[in-house]
Amino acid sequence: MKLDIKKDFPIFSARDGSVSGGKEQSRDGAPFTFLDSAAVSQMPQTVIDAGSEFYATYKANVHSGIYSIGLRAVKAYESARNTVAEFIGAHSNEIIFTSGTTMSLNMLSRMLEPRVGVGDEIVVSAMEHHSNFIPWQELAKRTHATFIVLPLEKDGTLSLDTVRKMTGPRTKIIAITHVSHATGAINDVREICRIAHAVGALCVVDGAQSVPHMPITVREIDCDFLAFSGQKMLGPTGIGVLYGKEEYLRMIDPVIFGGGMIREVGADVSTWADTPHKFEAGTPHIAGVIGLGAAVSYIEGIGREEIRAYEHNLADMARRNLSAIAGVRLYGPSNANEMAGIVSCTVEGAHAHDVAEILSRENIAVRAGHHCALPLMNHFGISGTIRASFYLYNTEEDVERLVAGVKKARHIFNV
Amino acid sequence: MEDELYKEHVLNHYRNPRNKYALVGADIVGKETNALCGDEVTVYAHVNENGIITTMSFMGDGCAISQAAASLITEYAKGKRVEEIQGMTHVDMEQLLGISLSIVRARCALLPVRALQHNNPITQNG
Repeated sequence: MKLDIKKDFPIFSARDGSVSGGKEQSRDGAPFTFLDSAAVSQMPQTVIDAGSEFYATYKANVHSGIYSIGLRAVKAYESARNTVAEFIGAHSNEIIFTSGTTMSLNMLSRMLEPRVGVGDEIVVSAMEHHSNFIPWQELAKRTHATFIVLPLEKDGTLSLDTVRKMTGPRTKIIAITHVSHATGAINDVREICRIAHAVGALCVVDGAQSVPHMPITVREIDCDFLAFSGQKMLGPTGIGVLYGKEEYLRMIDPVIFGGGMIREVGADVSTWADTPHKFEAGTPHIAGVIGLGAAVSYIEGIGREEIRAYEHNLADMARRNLSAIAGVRLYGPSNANEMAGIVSCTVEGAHAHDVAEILSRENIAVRAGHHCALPLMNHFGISGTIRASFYLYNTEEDVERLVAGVKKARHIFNV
Repeated sequence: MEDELYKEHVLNHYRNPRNKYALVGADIVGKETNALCGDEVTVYAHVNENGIITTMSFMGDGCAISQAAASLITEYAKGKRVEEIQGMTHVDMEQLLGISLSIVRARCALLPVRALQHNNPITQNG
């Protein structure tokens, strides 16, 4: 299978043949192999153009413009909200724009604070990104609730039995990631939401690594809240989404106050606009929202079933070839069907950063380190891994170059 | 200055670190970690009445650059004033390692220097 869409992404022609090492250098011929889409994905020209067009031809605020470009900005902003809502099977008034998954989860932890009290339980897993861990840890601290971290299996996966065993009538919130950004393991969030609802808890899903890569609808998962980021799904940086079920968003009070979110303001008390606008105080990242809408349209043009199958094939090829190298250890479940397009490994005798540096000199971009998942790294007893994350613009050649690069690193370190 | 980061000189100090032990009765014990990548270095030094380092050792774990830098510094520091080693810069580390360092990797190389800047009295055993 071939998607052949690298040409849609200007970064590849811009970076082909150049290598950043100790100081910027250039090396002819080495194509740019970008394998860090789990952190930030690249943007197709259509997304760049959508944002630029706003800046160049109708930059105006979305709150009060009676004039023509103000109206056009509102139209584009709300139309992007509809596009994003449809993408995850939600209603547009359930889509709150934020600056990213981190902000979505932090804001949500504040929004849910009145629902948590002394002795209640807030549950996360040991595979969470720090952004779906610390906000809940802090919420528990503020409310004197109990913070429970679900332990993982040896392979770093979360067993549903563990979720069942460690939740109960005191559980108020279960916050869980759909896909581990560090290993690629996929959680059965549908079942976890069912477990949460059975004990009367709310289920928060971190969709940062799933929404960009696989078909997902909030109705099917039945999560109460879902957070994801624009920059990981071909969109601009600084834009993200918090989805919440309308019935909850209507009841919940905003935690950030200012312009654009009020109904009435009095000397003693103020009242709020309807959801989602009551959660979007201040001037939002309008170009980011418009860019995110364009990114969703681009993804829909290819299809998430296709993207999932395509990445699965590349990651599977990478896993097979890397595991054949002596001294390379892979992390995550052995069953490829339980994995997303993320491959995490260590090379015996060579620190992850040194391997990443050697790969960088071959014009290959991977992530090395703890990936903001220290509880997971502690679980594996390591300080970090080398992570290659795939997206729709990657190719089999990228996999071959990665494997050759890791072999070269082994050679340099004589292992 | 050669371009290759992983010169034999650096790899040699990484694979066979010099003075890698906890110095008993050290006058200075300082630890520094790089939260970004998990590298850590603890340095130990004997300092005489004139402020001169007479012996220096380290313990640590991390990438080749941080560990080779620590190993090299323990040899380089001998007979030099504490302040001189504490004041070493990005450029000084490039010279010591014999390689050029990006701003990110300079943090790895400067780990032992930063460690020496902290004299942690809790772990001090001298």
